[in-house]
Amino acid sequence: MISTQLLWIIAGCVLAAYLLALSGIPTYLRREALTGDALSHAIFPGVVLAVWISGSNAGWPTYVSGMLVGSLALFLIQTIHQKTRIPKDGATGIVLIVFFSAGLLLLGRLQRSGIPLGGIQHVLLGKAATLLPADLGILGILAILGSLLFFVFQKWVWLEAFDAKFAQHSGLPTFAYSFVLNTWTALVLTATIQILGAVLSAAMLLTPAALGHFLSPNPKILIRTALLSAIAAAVFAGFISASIPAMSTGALMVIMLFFLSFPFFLLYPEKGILMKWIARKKEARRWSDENTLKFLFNSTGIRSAIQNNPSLRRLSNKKLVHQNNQGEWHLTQTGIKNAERIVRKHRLWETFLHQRLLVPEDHVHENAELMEHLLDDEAEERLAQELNHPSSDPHLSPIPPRK
Amino acid sequence: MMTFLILATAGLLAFQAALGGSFLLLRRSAMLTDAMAHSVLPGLVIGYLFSGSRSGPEVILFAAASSFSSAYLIDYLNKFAGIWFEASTGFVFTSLFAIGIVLITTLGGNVDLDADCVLYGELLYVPFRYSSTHSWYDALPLPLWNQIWVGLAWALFLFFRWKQLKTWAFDAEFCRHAGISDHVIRRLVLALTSMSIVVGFDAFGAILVVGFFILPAATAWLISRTWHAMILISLLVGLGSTGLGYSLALFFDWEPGPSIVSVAGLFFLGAAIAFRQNRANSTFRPTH
Repeated sequence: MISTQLLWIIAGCVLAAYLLALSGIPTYLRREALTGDALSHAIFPGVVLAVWISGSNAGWPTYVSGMLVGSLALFLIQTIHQKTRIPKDGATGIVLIVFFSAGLLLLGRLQRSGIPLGGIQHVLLGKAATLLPADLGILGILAILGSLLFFVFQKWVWLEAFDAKFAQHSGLPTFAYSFVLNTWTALVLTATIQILGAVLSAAMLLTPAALGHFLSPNPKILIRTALLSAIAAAVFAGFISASIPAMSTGALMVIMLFFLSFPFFLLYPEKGILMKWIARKKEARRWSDENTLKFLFNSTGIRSAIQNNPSLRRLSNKKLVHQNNQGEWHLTQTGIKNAERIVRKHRLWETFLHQRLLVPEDHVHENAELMEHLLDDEAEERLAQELNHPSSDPHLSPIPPRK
Repeated sequence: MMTFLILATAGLLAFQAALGGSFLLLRRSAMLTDAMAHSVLPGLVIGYLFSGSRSGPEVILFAAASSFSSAYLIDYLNKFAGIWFEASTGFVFTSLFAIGIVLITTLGGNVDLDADCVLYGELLYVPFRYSSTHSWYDALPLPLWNQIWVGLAWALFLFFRWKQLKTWAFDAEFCRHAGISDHVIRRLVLALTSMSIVVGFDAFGAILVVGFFILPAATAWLISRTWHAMILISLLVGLGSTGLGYSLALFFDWEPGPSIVSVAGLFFLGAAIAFRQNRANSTFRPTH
């Protein structure tokens, strides 16, 4: 018996997460990530209204009224933004808070008049344990319908996300597209807020798409990442919430997704915060090491005033410099070779600036200080060819030959 | 007297919200208040664990810290991971909210925090909550004291940083070129906002606080053409909707918080219809 119940819950969670992640992709790509949050709060009065009229929060009146009120809210956000020029997020906040308050006022009326409220208290925090087979059926139908819609109209989604103006000019019915997307999102949220709660449904709408888009704007990768991460989070959350009955399933799902996506935000190659930081540090070290080498090349046998200079320590680990008995720092054979390369790049660039770009010779040094770190081997070779392998720079210092 | 104390507390919150709301609206960060109000939750639970009370100074500090760190993290992810601002807002506050909920449920029945008190607050109890230290501090209710301190912090900030604030609110780019640290000003505004949100939340609940931060500022922005007018009008809208909404709530036996926000929403609707052309050619507009 327990295991059937568990299966119900997990199936419900997975369906809800799949639906939300899928519907979240177009919304996210239109840069309307917070619309989901606004919508999930704004449909609240619709749900309360349906309970008032029909006496329960299960069944079609809830979906119809949630859909209508949600569409109205999104229409109002758009209208307020266009007519009054209030920034979009301001308009979103206004509609969210006013609709939600109206819903709370209605709910207060209902509570006082003693009408049975069904499971309406779950709208705020959600409860997957109260999932009925009928709800599961509706989620299943929505999931099939949503997948069909998405894969049929996929081209529009990418086109509109890529360039809304271009999409309009190439014949995409933009108004109808927005209308269908908004109504659909409202419908999906009405179905899922009773399982996951308002705020947490909004999170499930947004985070999978955000993770997918962070990893790659490539549609295939984006869709796969979004759907897989949402489903994985749902399975985890379903298991845990089945064993701890009081736990909010939606909250667990969102936390799972957080732990799934945050490492990517930190560690993803080239994009992750930590990775970018490490790359910046490495680059800074390279520059400082190269400067140290160049300095020692120009004035050898320097007694370092700073005993524990990190750049000298790194270079001596690489056996590019060594310290003699008097505590003086010298370049080793390899060190001299490396330093010559940097000096060569520096002086070649100075020559180029002076000869070809006609920069006065007392103005070329600063720019060469930067370019010596940026020129790669091929550029250096081409530069030397271009200048007919000069032997000295504008200040008449010798340019070390390439070895 | 009771009504006066409630209105005085609400008035001070309206003052803070008029300032914070205006700055954030002009910097296109209005949804940050919503996010910061949700992110209060984990701090609230942790503070409750430390102090055992629902509104001690520890709770206020922890809640404000958690609210501020959400704003900080949102900016951080936006800046360093390149995630769109709206997306990073949604990601951070929903995650913190979820953590808060899981903390509450893990602690089981030990926590006396329910959805009702978080949403509605206890506006009607405001005049009855005293510090009970039997000193001069008992002269005024505790929520009013909280509002006074945070209001004072806002006033000091305004007094010393008015020009920088004004510059920052309209043109962060120019602000940087003029040698004013855009980040420092933003963080100070967000820190004060998080304090206001927490003390407001403690007295009136989440709905009213978010409504206060967004609606009066937006209404005032529609009507006004100068800074002083904008702040004055948003203060008046905040006070007016408190008075009217509270009276309606008493008369019809509604929940006071949602009633006040709904009235403020009606004010906004009226202003939007009456002044919709006002903004079209005005230069009093936010920039990126």
